[in-house]
Amino acid sequence: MIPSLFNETMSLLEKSLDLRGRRHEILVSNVVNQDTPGYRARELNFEEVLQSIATGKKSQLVRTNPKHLSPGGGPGGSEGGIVLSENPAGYDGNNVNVEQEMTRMAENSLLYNASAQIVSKKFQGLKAAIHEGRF
Amino acid sequence: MDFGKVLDISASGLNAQRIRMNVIAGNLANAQSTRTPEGGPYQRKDVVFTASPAPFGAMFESALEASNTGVEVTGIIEDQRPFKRVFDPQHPDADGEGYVEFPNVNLLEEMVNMMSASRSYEANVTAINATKAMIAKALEIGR
Repeated sequence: MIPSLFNETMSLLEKSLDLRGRRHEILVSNVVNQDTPGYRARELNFEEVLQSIATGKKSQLVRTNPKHLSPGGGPGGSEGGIVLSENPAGYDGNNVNVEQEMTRMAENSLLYNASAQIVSKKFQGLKAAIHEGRF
Repeated sequence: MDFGKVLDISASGLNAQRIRMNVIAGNLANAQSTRTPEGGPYQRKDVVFTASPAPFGAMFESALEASNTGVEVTGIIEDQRPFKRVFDPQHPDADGEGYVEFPNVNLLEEMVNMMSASRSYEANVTAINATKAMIAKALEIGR
């Protein structure tokens, strides 16, 4: 039964936490550059990327030669999916919408916390099983 | 996923906004200064923000995937707009026609800039708090 201890759900949750963290990083750098002329906001389409991981579909970048660098920054690296925002740019060429970024950041960290909570609960469940229901 | 890097990015934003605030404070303080060490009235200063050129490691990474950038103040420029000419023959710095050149600082503009800087600073603080909450939650997994 050992393989089912850390089953698919766990690895998906792990990926979810990783992606949420990555998205947070992108949102933070958008907020930081809200006054930088010419900066284009970026976005990570979380749902799309997670789905491509869940269904086993990898990103479009494929290593065709073993001497090439891996596209995702090593094993377990990012799956890409970062796109430039299509928001209209202001007079200085910057298209960061701070309200949008802050809302997304709030949403993203709440969902990160939710994933972390689920992982935590899963471990608690395991612990309960190990201790035969006694804590 | 490296939260330290995220905090560094936010910190670079705080730093840049603080420098901007310093420059604005200097402009406001010198709104009436007719003499400077370089001679002539004070010239309004402005900051130049640049999405920071990452260090080598991050540059290398950015060649592989879009890396996330902080912000950096890459220069403080002097505003080239003409000085304000005010008629005041009694002033020690008045020219032959009795006109004094005052700095090209517009108080209204500086106040608006200051508000913008302080709001941007706040946004960065909020981002840091969100990051901290996420780190705390991640640490709770092991409990």
